[in-house]
Amino acid sequence: MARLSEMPFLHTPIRYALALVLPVAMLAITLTLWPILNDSPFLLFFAAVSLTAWLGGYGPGLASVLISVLLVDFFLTEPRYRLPDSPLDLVQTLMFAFVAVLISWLGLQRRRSIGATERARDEMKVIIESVSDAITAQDPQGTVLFANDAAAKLLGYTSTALVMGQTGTVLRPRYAMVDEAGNEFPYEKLPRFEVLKTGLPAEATFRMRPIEGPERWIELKTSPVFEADGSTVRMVVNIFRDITRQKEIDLKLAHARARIQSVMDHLGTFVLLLSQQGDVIDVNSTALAWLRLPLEDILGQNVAQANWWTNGPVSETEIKRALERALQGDQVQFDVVMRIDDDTQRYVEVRLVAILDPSGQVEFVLLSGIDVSDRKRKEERLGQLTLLLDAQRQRLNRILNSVPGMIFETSGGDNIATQRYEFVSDQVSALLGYSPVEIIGKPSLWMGMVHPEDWERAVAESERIYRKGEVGIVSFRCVRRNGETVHVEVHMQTDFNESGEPVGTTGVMMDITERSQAESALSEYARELRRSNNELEQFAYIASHDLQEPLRMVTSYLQLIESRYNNALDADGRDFIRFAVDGGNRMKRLIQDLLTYSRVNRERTMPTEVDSAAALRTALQNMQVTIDQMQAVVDVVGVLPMISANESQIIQLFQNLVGNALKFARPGIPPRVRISAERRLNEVVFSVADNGIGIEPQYLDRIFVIFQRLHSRDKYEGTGIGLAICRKIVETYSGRIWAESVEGEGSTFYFSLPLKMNKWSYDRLLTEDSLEHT
Amino acid sequence: MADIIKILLVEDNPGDVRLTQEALRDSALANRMYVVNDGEEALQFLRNEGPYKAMPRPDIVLLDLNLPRKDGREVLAVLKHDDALRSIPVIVLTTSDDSWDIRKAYDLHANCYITKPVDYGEFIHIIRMIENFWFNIASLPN
Repeated sequence: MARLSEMPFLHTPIRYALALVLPVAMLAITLTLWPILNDSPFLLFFAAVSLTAWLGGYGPGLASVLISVLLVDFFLTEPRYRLPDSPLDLVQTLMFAFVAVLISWLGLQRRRSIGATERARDEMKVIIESVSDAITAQDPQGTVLFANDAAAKLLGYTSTALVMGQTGTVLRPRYAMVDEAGNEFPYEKLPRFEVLKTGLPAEATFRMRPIEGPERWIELKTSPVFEADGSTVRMVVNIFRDITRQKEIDLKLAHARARIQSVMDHLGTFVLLLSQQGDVIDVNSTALAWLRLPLEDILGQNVAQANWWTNGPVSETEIKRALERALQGDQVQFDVVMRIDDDTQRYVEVRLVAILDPSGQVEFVLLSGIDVSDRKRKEERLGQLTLLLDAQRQRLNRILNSVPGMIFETSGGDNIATQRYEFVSDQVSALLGYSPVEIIGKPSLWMGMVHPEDWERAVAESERIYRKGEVGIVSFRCVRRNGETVHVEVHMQTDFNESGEPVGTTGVMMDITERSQAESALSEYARELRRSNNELEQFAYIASHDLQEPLRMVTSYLQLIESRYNNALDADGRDFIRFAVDGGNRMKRLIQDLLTYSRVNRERTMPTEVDSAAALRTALQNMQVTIDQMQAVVDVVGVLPMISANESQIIQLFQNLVGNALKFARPGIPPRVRISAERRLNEVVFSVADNGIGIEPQYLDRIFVIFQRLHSRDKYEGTGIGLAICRKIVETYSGRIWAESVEGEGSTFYFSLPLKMNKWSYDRLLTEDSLEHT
Repeated sequence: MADIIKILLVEDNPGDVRLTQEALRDSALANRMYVVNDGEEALQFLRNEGPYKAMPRPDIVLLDLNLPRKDGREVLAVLKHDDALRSIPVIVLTTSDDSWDIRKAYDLHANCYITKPVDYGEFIHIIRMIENFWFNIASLPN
């Protein structure tokens, strides 16, 4: 391209030569045509000045004016051939000069104006050539009027000249034109045709696929250029813009966007893009799937007012507040409940964050959510479990603390003395006066609290239990915090580790101060009772034994007197001796009964199997004389069983009862005694029934009490001990004795004995026995 | 008979001693009764110790159980463990009819156990029966 040069002024000497030549030429013409030009000698000189200024510029113009003035004044004005000498002449000359200068200036301006237009046209051309877009102009018939270098290059020509004059159709064999979808782009669709039809600019985008080389994306804009009167289109201007690069970028962007979309869709995360107002701009497929709503129902929906959050913890205002915070730059996170349908809901952990554009303005708000239903359900279950556990723990605590004793757990070491409390129930404060906190974790504190006098024994016994690993009981005294002594009983059990070594204990420590006091008082009483019972028996035995000695002396010597000095005594003397001997005999019976009574316990031996029928037979034999004397009838009804007892005592028992039946016979009526036995669950109830005088009901209980007599000695002999002996014998075998009677008709005495002594009752018997003889 | 029956009565109660003497007084058998008042004396008598050096060996011993110093059971135990003395028959004559006492006496090898009756007549009768049984019916070692 030629660069635009300076205006094409002539060379300076030529220009100034013009300033001389032209006025001289004009002088010659004027002189030649003087008759015509007589009246206006300056006329042609104006042309000379004007032409000089036009062609030579300002300096030569002035020079031309000066030369013209001199020539005109010297050759043409009167007086001729003389320089102006009159004022009039001078004025005339000056006026010419002025007009000439004016003409010269005007000419110069005109000349300059023409130069500027040309220059502008040149510049336009340069600009057009320098534009990278291809530009062509065509007349309505399609002939190319103009093409810039870029156009030539685009269309496959080496210079613009080759393009000029061609019609638009020459493009066709050189390119395949393809539209965006890849189909052929028809020639008739070029915008030129539309522009010609409508007179309005038009455009089209297509691909130009050359025979060789890469295809180009072209955006073609065609504009009309009208005739000066604006009626018809003179030509059209085509601007071909190569948008290949733009298209490539667009494609990459589209791919990138698709990738992002695909990533968003496959994240498994619920994604909403929100406007600053909270309206949904975009969603991912997960959101669609979760919400089960068509896209159009979601887009444009305001997220805070959406009905897909239900009775969750987040209200509309809370979502709005979260949105505001996100817009301020915070990353907001909270949980919401999303309603899927009436039965299903989804717990969603939502995160809101504002996404900024490159200028730092909020472009949109990203709402992402992950499904935390499983976690929530687990948390809920955990919560329920925790509640349950709490309730359980409270219940356990209540139970633990309602136990009237301190429940404890210790651990540590293979030694009872090195145990530490792992746990103690609150009862510790009531029991020992310390709070659980003061006790737990303290080494061997309980050992320190054990009463010094009990310490050694308590440790030894505890150690034994600890080793053995069984439930064991130790009781000892402790010193309370306030110095009081408390008697405790510890039930403890050893805890073992997997290898079977003792590692701790579990147990309960109870206050047995009262019990132990009561127990010791009771055992004191029992001891006292046993002692006094023993003493009493001993006393009864010794007394009755030793009483017999003097008694025997009294009776024997009275009888000796009676036999040896019978003749020396009168009737009174003999009577007195008889009374004395009789009293002695009664006393002897009394003493013997007392002896028997006191021996019931003393003579108890291990019970053996006893045939009660045989025992009764022996008893009856012992009383045969009396039975015969009284003409009594003694019957045994039914079978008498085998029992567990001491035979001699059973004989004694029958003897006493049958003896009573005979003794308390009604006068004149021979006694009739019936003996029978009835077997009950595990005992035998014997009955001895008579037809005697009977007993008044109010005395039925008293008769078994020692020395209780219902009758005077004159009427019925007796010591008042016989039935007491019976009761004592029966009670020895844990049996009972009682009587029923109809006064004047007879009495029935019952007594029960165990059918067989079982091990328990036998052990008990032995225990009682050993107690009583301790 | 040349042989006079020698009876040792071990009895602390003078009343009983007298009663026994009374009972034996009218006996058909010639007898001599020696009396000691406690177990210690009885053993000395039998072993001819102390004041009893010149005393003969008795043919029979009537032994009360409740005695001062050494009681009858101890005397019995010692006597029956003494090779020289154990052949002498010992009749326990006591107020007690306690079965334990009876059992104990026989365990200690008493030859006979008799409870003293309260009735004087019976007492005489029993003494006679003892006499009759041991000296007429039973054969004794020399």
